[in-house]
Amino acid sequence: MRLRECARIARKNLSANKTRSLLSVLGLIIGIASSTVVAAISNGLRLAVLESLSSLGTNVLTIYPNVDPSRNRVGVIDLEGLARVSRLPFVEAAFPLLTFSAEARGDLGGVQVNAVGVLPRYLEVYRIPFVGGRSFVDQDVRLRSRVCLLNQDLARRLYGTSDPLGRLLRFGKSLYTVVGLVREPNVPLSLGRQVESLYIPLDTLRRQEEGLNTSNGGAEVWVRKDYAGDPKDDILSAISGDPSKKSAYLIVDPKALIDEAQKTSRKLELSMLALAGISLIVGGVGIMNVMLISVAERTREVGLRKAVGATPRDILTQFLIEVMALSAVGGCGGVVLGGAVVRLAPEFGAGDVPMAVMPSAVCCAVAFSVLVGVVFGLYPAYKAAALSPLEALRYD
Amino acid sequence: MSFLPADASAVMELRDVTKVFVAGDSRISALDRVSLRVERGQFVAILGRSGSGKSTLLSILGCLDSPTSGEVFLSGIKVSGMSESELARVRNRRIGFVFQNFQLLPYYDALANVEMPLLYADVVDAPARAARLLRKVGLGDRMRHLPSQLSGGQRQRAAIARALANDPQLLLADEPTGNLDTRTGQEVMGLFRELHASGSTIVLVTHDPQIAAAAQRVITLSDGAVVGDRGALGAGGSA
Ligand SMILES: Nc1ncnc2c1ncn2[C@@H]1O[C@H](COP(=O)(O)OP(=O)(O)OP(=O)(O)O)[C@@H](O)[C@H]1O
Ligand SMILES: [Mg+2]
Repeated sequence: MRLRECARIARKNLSANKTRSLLSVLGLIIGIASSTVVAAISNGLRLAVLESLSSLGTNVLTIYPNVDPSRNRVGVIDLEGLARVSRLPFVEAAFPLLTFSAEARGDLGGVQVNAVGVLPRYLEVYRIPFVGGRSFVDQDVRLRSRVCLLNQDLARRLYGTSDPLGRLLRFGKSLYTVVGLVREPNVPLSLGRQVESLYIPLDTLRRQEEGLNTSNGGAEVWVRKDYAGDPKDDILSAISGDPSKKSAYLIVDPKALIDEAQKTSRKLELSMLALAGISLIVGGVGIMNVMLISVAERTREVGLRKAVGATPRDILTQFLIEVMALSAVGGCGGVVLGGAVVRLAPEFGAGDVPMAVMPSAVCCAVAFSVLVGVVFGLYPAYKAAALSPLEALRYD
Repeated sequence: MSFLPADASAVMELRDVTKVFVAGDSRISALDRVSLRVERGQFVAILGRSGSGKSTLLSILGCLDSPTSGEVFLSGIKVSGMSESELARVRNRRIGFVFQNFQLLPYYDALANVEMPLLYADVVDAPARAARLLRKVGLGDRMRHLPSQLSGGQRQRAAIARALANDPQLLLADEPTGNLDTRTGQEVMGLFRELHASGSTIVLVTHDPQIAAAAQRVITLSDGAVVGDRGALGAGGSA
């Protein structure tokens, strides 16, 4: 018998029992929907991590002083050592992380803000978008000019609607000229770096706010992107000046952090998928149950079909196609439901969970649900195929 | 399959067929060493009281059941010992079966019911052929009716059209008038006589001697054994 006929029989029977067919695949729909959401979340996380990684123009490492055991307190960054690091061939720049919290005053009043001391290329490395004015130039650094860049939001609070460019801003003890406006980078993960709202050239800040040079404790090292090796050992040797004192410092590599985070999310993802898998099995049992009922109900039909010439294989094919159609519909329904959850989740307060539906995952979900249907439909279909025509005809 | 040098005119031949049913501790011998030949073109009635083994015999003739012992030949081909799917093919191409309770699929219309054996035979123009058969049994204007929308006689005629679908060598009917009133039963018997006149080989089971009178040969069963065979030598009508 041709497959087209089997498909016709399947369609006829499924549409004759719409409610039951729908109920039988409900478990499968839920299982596939949850798998789709899980896959969307893990894919979203992966994309977010990749984006934040590529948002850094350079490989940025952070050096922190370790606890000094002899003095039992956190050590400080040795600025001379840092200068040695900056002379390493693969290092683009090495500088102490300087942040300073004070009140910034504009036309409309004062706000407590964190200022960060930066190099001219800082905005580029961190992909901080420019909105107006100019960035820092080498001259600003050389002359230790008192200039600053303002976050757009802070500018609005300090100057209202008037143009802040060229205006004076009081920060701490000094006056700065606002030369440029920036926007917060739209990077999902900031890799542990806080987004600050006031940028001042590093050396200017260092001179204006004497004594806070190492207040943050850490230093940043920008490693050239084309450097393939592991720079950590060389950096540690350079900064400590003495291989035996390497342990005085700790290097944080964001790539390693990301790897670690990805390992953790992998584990989470696996356990979520296991849960989704269990719901698929439950869905499969639901399908099997309904198929067994269907076979029992249609015993006479099977008997008649066999009496007029259906082979056991014809019957098996007929029921398998039926369960495949059923589970394919269930799989598609699950994908649609899962897609709707992904689409609507931000509106129900899950906006910070990154989600992205992968087309390959959608195909997998539908294929997998058909597989579940076949696995759980095989036994009922086999049972129907093995019926004796005479006994089946007598059944009522 | 073994071919015997059997008379080609024998559509069906049973040799020493015994059928024993085991129900619990009791063994019921529904057929006891039955041997018979159905010649091409014959119209045979099987007559007997209730429980005499008529339906059992017809099921074996129709390859729906296999004997406990003995051999069954269809056009000289040994049927006993065939696989399930070979038997299905034989039932599909060579045998047409008419049941007392019609056995039409309730959610298929008359046309789809008649088409069914054609589809299992992979016939290309199944709908056209099914329509022709329905016109032949006088249901040309009822093709799209569901069985529930047909009268008893019309249902049985649709079932006969289905039995004729693949132009079988043997048409079997188990009390085809059993669920019909006398008048409608006579109409259906008229259809069988027409089919016989146009060459069909028919075996019909009944417990009603009046209906058996329509046949040219009457085999009488009692307790699973053939006790009478009137007109056994008569050759088939116009075949
Ligand atoms: N599946 C079965 N299991 C056990 N016994 C059976 C089975 N089928 C038939 N029999 C027995 O075999 C005997 C013959 O049954 P069969 O159905 O052939 O009779 P019948 O002549 O067709 O009777 P009726 O006219 O009432 O239809 C009966 O005694 C019956 O009880
Ligand atoms: Mg009977």
